Order: sequence, then structure tokens, then C-alpha cells
Amino acid sequence: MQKQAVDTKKYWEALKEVMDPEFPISVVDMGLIYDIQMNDGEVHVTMTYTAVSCACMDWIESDIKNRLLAEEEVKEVHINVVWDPPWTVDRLSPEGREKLKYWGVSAK
Amino acid sequence: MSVMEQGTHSLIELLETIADNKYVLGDRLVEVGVSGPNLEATLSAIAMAQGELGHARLLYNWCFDLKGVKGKKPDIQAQTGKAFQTAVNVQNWISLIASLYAINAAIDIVFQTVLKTSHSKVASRIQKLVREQHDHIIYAENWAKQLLLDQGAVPYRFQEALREAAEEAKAWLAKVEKSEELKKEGYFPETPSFPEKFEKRLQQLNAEQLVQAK
Repeated sequence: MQKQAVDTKKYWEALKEVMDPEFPISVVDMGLIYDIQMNDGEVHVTMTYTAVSCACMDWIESDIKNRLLAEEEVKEVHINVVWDPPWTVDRLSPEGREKLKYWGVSAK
Repeated sequence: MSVMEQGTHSLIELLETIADNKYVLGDRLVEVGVSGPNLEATLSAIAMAQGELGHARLLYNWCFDLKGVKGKKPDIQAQTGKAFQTAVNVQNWISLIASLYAINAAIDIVFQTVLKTSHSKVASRIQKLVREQHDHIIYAENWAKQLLLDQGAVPYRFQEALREAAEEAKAWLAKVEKSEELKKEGYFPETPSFPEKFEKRLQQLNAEQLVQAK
């Protein structure tokens, strides 16, 4: 039986509550999340990091998993880290850009 | 061993050598870099150490995937023994900059060639690393020029350290270039001219002329 794609908007919203440990900006506004798919209780998140050497990878992934698992219908979370397209500041959301500006961090 | 397996084996060998060198560079950037010539140099060295160790982690994890390791990747406790001896022996700022420059310049030449091939999956793994590595090369190159224009014995000592590090890196490039399996798998063209490209890049440093002009 073909799996039905589920609207993932609520998961994008949920991940807006997961903050980057280094800046008070969500992983969504940082532009780290590339794609979210939901099938039969399994959420598949495709994401990247600002740098290959990001020291907070385990921390961020754990926060993402915990937040998504807080949704009743989510039974499993799979995270696929990709490096293409590479993250650049262009991926910041307007909200994320404003927050960085507020904290005096250049996003150019 | 099938042709495919031999190709994978050669790719793992290549990636582990690069990862080992980055692992050792990361370690040396902390150990030696923490007492760099000035505060900016030290802060940059520590930041780059994190970068090099991150690159090593990415490449080791890739090797685990190629080896068929499923689930959580093993912790990396040590290099696999393929790091260049000149990198392992780095004990001061001069040899640190020489190794950082020579090794990353050599790796860059290999990865730039791989990026031009049709291996999109491989390219997608290293794109970000290559961008970040470029910053490390610029840093090392500028420090190299500074050391070559320094006072007393520093320029000569740096020139010697660079010669040693470059010799080892060039020998590795010549060995990599001979890998029929990697060529067969399409990671490199028939004649990638790695040593020649490396030599050309070293010439851009103008080390001999700078030292002679002192």
C-alpha cells in the first residue's frame, strides 16, 4: 500500500521551539531544516548545520527528536544530516536575521 | 575482491588518510596553537582546531558508512595510523603552519578534482568541508608569508619545515594519483597531475625569493 504524505506544517512549527544552543534562534529560523516527511508515525527530518565542525550536533539532534516525539502521533524520528546545499547566511529566515541583528551579530 | 570492492577500499584508504591528517592537525592546533605568537593567532588556531576535528569526524563517519557500519557510529579515539609524520611531529608554531598549509593545500587539490567529476553523492559530502578548508588555507598561507618575512632564523626554519611537510604531502599525492581503482571508479581523470598542481601552488608562496631577499 502506498504511504500517504502527511501535512508537515505542524512539525515545522514544533521545531520553531527548538533553539540553536549558541543563538536564541530556532533551528527553523537558522535555516538548518531542509525537509520534513511524515509516514506512519515516523518523522524523517533532513537537515544541515552551519559548520561541519558544529560542536552541538548531538545536542541539537536530541532536542529535535524530543520535541517531535512530544507529538502524540509521532513514534519515531529519523534525522538525515546533509551538506548539500551547504548552509550559508542566505538560509536565515527574516525573523532569524532580525534576531541576529538585535544581538549584534552580522548576518551578511 | 571485486572491482567495486577494490574501488571502495581505495576510497576508504584515501578518506582515512585525509581524516587522520585532519585529526592530528586538530590536535596540534590546540596543543601548539594555544601558545601562538599573539592572541588573534591563538584564538584562530583553536577555532580551526574545531574545524579540522569536525572535518575528521565527517570523513571517519563516511568511512564507517562505506564499511557498512550501521546505527550509531563508533567513537573515534585515535587516528588510524595514516597521518603524515611531519604532522605528528609538529611541536612549534613554525612546523604547525608548515603542516597546516602543506596538508590542506594537498587535500584541497584532491577534493577539487573529485568535485569536478560526476560523483554527485561524493561531491555533496565534501562541498561544505572544502569551503571551510579554504579559510584554513588562507590563514596558513598568510602566516607562511609572515614567517618568511620574519627576523633572524625564522624564515630559514620555516622554509625548512615547509620543505619537509611539502615533500611528504607531494609523495602522498603521487601515490594517490597512481591508484587505478580510484580512476576506474571515476573519482579522478586518467592524469590528474596532483604533484604538479601542488608544486604550482607552493610556488605561489614565493618562499625561496622571500627568504633570499631578507
